Amino acid sequence: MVGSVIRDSYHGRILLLLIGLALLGYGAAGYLSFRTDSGVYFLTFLKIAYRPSWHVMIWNDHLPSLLHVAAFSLVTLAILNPTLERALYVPLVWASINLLFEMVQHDIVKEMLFNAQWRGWLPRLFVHYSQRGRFDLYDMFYSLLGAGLVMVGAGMYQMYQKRERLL
Amino acid sequence: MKRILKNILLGMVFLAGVVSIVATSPPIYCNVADSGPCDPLCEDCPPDRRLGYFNADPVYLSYDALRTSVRVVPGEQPIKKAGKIFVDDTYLYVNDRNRGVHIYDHSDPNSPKALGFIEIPGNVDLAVKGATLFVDSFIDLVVIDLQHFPEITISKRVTDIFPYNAYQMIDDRSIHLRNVDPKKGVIIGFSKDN
Repeated sequence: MVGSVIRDSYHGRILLLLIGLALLGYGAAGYLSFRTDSGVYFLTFLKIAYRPSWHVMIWNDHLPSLLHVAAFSLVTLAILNPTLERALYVPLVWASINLLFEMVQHDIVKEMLFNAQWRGWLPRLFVHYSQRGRFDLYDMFYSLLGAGLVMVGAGMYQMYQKRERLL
Repeated sequence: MKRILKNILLGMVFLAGVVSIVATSPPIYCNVADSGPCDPLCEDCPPDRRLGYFNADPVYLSYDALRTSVRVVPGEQPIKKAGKIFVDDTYLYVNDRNRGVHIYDHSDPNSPKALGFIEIPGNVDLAVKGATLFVDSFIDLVVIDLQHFPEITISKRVTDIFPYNAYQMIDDRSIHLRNVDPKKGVIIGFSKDN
């Protein structure tokens, strides 16, 4: 996996970090181009005056889920510098976090959260997130796809490295 | 020391990851002057804007009714929510979001004349070629012959071509529709519980 391949490789970790940040930047640019202020917290509160229209970007409404998992997996791997076994879990942990946040938007969980006596104990933003969001199965799929891509990409890179070493 | 720094960094990445999920969700307001829905725990939030009112039942327009509801209202009609605009040599077409298309004669640019309004439920986009108007109507594509306007003929209707969007006509983002059943028809509104 990525972590093992670039383990102890400073340049490799920087590369992972940069790819991760680039993916995050791409996601932010997508939100700036394709979403309205009233639909997104950070656009509303940052009150960004300049709104570019990079409509040539490859984008769909589920892509942020994929980008989020992939980007944060790469950034985490860059910092964690894990062993092969541990590296495998990083994309899975981020995919699980995304899946959890998607599931709290499901009607059943929404109603349960809203009516729960212990709602006050939960962070307010989390309750808002649950109540205002809409559950989407495709978002879950894209989250898993993001984790899968990091794993596959890392695996391929590892195979390439092994072959290079043999040559 | 290095280990502590690494753990702090990891914690920050985790926090950033979680915050970025929440930060890309729709916003909520507490200030009553804002137009959006309110925080349910906010004392000065009017009851009808509290999140507790998010549940609503859909109001449907049956597919039969949808497919027989295109008609012309002659003369000038107010534009409620302007959408896409199309112009050709003589006519100007203005989409009124989810309502239909206004047609104006602009042969005299100094005094454009409203010719009429074609009611097309769920219409948000249009295209024109010659005297043929292509419009969407919720999930259908409708081809309208305007040759003898204000007399119109539906030349063709391609059904179920566009994706079903339960929230197409619902601007109020505090509303959450439950028990959506696409078999009953398209959704043109909602009824609140309380």
